[in-house]
Amino acid sequence: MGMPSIVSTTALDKRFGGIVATQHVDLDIPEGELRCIIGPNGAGKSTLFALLCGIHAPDSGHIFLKDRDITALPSFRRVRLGLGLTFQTNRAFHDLTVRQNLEAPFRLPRGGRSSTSEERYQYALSTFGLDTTSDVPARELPHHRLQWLEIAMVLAGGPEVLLLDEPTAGLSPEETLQTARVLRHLNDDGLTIIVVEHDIAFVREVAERVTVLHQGAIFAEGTVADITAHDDVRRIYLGQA
Amino acid sequence: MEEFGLVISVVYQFGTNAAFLLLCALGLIVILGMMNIINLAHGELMMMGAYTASLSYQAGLPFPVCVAVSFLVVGFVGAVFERLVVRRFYGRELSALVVTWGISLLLSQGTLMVFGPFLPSIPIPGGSLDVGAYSLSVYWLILIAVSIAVVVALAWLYNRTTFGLHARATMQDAAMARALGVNTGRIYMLTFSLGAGLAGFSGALLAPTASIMPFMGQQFVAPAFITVVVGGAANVIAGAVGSSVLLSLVRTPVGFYLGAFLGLVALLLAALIIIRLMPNGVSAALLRWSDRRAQSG
Repeated sequence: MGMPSIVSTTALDKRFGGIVATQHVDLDIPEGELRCIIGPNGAGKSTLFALLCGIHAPDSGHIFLKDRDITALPSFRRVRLGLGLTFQTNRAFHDLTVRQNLEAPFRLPRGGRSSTSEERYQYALSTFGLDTTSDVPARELPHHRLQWLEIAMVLAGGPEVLLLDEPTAGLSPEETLQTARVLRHLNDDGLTIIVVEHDIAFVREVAERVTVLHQGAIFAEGTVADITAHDDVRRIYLGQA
Repeated sequence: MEEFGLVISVVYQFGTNAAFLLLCALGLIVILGMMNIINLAHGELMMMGAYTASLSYQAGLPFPVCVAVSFLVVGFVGAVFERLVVRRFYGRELSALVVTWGISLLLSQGTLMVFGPFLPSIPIPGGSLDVGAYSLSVYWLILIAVSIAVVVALAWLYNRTTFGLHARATMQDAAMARALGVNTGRIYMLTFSLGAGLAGFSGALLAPTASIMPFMGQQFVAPAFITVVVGGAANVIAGAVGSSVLLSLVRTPVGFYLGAFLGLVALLLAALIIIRLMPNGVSAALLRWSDRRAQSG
């Protein structure tokens, strides 16, 4: 692709007891790409996500962020190095106000956000309609706003890579589309985004390249068109969706 | 003049009762209220504060400095316990309860072995103030002021500072806080250490009013737990203030007319009734009340 990779893994293995969750995953995400990681239930998507963000440690293999080996780093250190994470279930702090949630991050580099990060953050705030001065407790927001709040919270930290686990879970088709548009725009602006996703409509909307996981291993990789045309992929995944 | 003296005296009694409950509860507000650890070593941490104060007072330090030393020493001990022991039991409330009970036995028996059955007491600083036929202790007036000041400082720390925001975020959802770059291990250690330090601070402040013995902590444990539990978890600081005020409103008149013992009985009864009526504590009731007001207004 020409661009140097910003996130990569080599031969990532993880077992839980006798169950192989990921095997020999070699992932290579060039800077500025929007990559979707898809696969049927139990394919190892969530495990891969957990390995990338440091919730689990791999049994073997390495994870690199900007050429630095982060395999042994706890998640908050990875975040401080430029990784931004959101989880599958909404994790905005319900008992804090919207303002406090947005102030909460956290890995702000000394001197605040860079001008690019600030632009991305402001863009997300205005598109999602979030008010940084709101003293409404987050628990009173509707689900889709909570989901958007979480994305904005992560952008508030000025990440260089966004790692999202099913960002559209529980959203309506219009809200999904809106989320897709924002991610698309952020990516056009140069932000690298990795999305673990189940919703194929969303994937079609946003992704350049798609990595398909199956039984813990990379099964196929290519453009959305390649992947959706791939017979085996249709058989293991799309056919069931 | 006689009636004026009576009013002042009842208000003073109320103030000392509420300040005593608040001082007992200070460290527990942080450790039980925020971290949800049932810290049975709370009384022993207060005892350590009293011991540190007594020893440094005997060494010739002025009393206010002794109190500051107690805060730092017991805070440090708390940090060590968190690192070595308590850390392994987050999210396992019953295990944490047993472990902190173990720590409490270790501390009280260890103190008995090292320092013997008692230490010289600290004379009560400040004199007394006569209002009509009643006399008020200046030191207790200072304690009332200090307990208010510390609660205000604690509320400021948790609501207005970055540390407070990170601590509240960590207590609500540690994984999400880490995902935003917070070093949650450090936050846990600092929070526990702060709670322990506050217990030591209160122990030192109450030391002149008590006998300094290895098992002195036990007298503080029940009032501390009652204050924090009656206060509830919705907003621990406001809850502890609310519950200490409410409980003292019951205890003071009963104690005044029927004697201190029945005053204590009334306090326990009041705690039972409040928990029966407001199962989630005073602060949850306050929160509901303010939500309703906001909606109707």
